[in-house]
Amino acid sequence: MLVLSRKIGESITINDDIKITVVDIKGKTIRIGIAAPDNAKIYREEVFEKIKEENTSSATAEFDLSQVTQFVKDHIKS
Amino acid sequence: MSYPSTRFGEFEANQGNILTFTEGLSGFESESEYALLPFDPNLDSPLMWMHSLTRPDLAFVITNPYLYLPDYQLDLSDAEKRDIALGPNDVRKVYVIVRVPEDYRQMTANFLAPVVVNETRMICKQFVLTNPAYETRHFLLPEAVRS
Repeated sequence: MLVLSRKIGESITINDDIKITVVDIKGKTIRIGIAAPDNAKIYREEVFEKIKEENTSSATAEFDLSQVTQFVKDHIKS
Repeated sequence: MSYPSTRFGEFEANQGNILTFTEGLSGFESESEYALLPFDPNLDSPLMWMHSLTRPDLAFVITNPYLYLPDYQLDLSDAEKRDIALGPNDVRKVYVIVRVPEDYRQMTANFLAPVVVNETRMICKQFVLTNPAYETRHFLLPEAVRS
């Protein structure tokens, strides 16, 4: 991994169209500004962990099929 | 062809209802083939099962997000469309994965990470949206029903 030191207000450019700027530093928190094309997908890393957890907990559900079916049928229109 | 299931004993699947993930679901990367099955064969339901063909114990409940959020915004980039080979003439179908807790009135679905299907080719992938309006646990039922 490439590691660079930057001060507040300094930037890093990736390819021709992505610019990452250190906006502010307060204690252990760094505020980062990202200028990128509209089609660039930018995520906080934790979101992937959250989705993995959600998939896992969805897959392990145990419930009474006919009860849930009837309940959903009564309350959600198909 | 029939496949084993810990929930149903066995189930039937064929080309018409088998979905292939181009990249396995997060947490289940090694499972790529699932069958789409009715939630309960005896009752009409907005829910469906997405049942693994290779793991008898692995099945997800899924549903159509537009039943709950008619304005659900889902704009795939060109790169994402390529992930499921989605061309202009292909039919796109969207599902969200449902989580059914013990108190099933509180069921939620993951609107942040929908499964988008190229129904023409029956291939799909779970995409992560960047729209902050959508959550991993979006209640499917109105508050009046939940409380």
